[in-house]
Amino acid sequence: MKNNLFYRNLFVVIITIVTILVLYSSRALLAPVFSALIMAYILYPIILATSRIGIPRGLTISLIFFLILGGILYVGSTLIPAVKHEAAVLSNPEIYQVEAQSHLLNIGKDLSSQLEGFGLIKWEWKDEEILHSVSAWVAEQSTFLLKSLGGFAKETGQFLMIFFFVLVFALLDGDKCYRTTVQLIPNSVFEPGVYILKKTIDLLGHYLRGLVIENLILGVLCFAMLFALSFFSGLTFVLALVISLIIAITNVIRIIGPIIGAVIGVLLVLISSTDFVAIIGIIGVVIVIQVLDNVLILPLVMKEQVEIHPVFCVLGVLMGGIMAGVLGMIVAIPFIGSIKVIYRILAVEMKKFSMEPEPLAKTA
Amino acid sequence: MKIFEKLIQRASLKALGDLADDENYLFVRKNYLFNDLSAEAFLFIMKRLVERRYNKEELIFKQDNLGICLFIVKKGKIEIYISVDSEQKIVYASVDEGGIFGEMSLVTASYRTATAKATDNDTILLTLSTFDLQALSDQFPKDGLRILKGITDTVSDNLIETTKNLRRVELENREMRERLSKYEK
Repeated sequence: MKNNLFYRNLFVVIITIVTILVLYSSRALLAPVFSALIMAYILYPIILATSRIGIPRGLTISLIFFLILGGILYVGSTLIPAVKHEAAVLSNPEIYQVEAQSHLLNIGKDLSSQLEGFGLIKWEWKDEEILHSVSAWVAEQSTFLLKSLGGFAKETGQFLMIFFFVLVFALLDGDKCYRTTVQLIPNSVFEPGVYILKKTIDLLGHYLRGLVIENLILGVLCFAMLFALSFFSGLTFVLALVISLIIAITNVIRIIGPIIGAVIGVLLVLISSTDFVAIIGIIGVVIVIQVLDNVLILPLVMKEQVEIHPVFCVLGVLMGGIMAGVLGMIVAIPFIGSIKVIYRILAVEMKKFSMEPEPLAKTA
Repeated sequence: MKIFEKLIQRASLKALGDLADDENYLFVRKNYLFNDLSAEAFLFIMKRLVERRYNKEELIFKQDNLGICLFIVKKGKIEIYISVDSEQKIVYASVDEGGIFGEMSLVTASYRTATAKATDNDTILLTLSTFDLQALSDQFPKDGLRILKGITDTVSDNLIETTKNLRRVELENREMRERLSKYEK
């Protein structure tokens, strides 16, 4: 008996290791497929609602497709020239030209003088040699980043191709996907299978849509605050919009996400202006948004939804990062949420069904 | 809004026309639960019906388990029985081609009062879950009500039949008790 248990446990461990290895080796394919399925699942109610009022599915899907692609192209076309400009300026050997044109160096100088003014440091960043060496280092890193953009662009292209392919088909044939899954359930567990599938889909739907609503509210709040900040600082309308969007998206990654959002936001300000008030303002807005999220929005929107322990959040996000980079980090929390939902249903709802075989009985 | 309604109706009629060759189409259309549904609602049902195949003696559902599906017999025969104990079972119905069983689960999320099993090889059933009916009622309330009325009629007929049977059994019991008391005297 003990031997049997040992072999069974060994088998489970081997199967788990093999599954993790297979998932890890196929992450390049799984990441876009999984992301597209999650996205399709979130967007599916829109397709249903529009088809109910007579708008063809193809038209709604095309509109969604162009909105997503347009957003990606807009952010890309805003960021890449700014980084390129900064790299070109910093690699210039003439120090006075670097000083005149580089936003990064000017913000560094402003920051050091502000800190000196507050008495936090005793020196001011004036030395040309330091400026030169820092600019050379930043230029080197920026050139390396731009060079590696080629490979990154190829990977992103592949990812987007698979992502949009799966997304379009999942949105077009959402009903068929459900029906096919139901058909795959064995006869012996047909009714429990349909019940569990439906409950899982519903809970997962509530969780994912709750996540979207939460981040949408955060995005709007963040934009309102940053827009108000733009009246007192060098922050522009477009920059406030882009930063709000980034903060809302990165907020999906619990705990680490807001920090990443704030860092990206500050960097965006750094490459477009040298405004000290804007930087402090962004950090302040992120803190206020986080407090509002945890105290008000999250309990309201995600009431009765899946709660994930902070330790699992951090571990999950790190694992996601190892498995599939930034996207893995974003997808990690919804993924852990889905596993928890399925576990909860299997552990609680399955008790409503008896899986024992029917005893042989005589007919009366 | 009328334009949209007309667009949906036209699209549904076209889709139904495409479905005319589907072997399940006429079979389901003839069924009393679905024969007077609107084109859109019928199309909705057709998209959600799932075909299942069972072998002889294979269980479809078990007594005391949560029931969530209605079954339409497309081919074969089904036996419905109550297990009195592990030794004895009482067969109280058999459902042939075109018949419906398990319909009560669509109205109330209740536990099965009997067990159903296939008595023929290659039995084919079409299933519809309570979630599908909920979705149909949300989208087409009038049609959802029609189906519910059909199910309620069946359940009432069954209840009337059961009451009659109960009365008959009660009478038989009384007769037996009277005879027994006569013998004892």
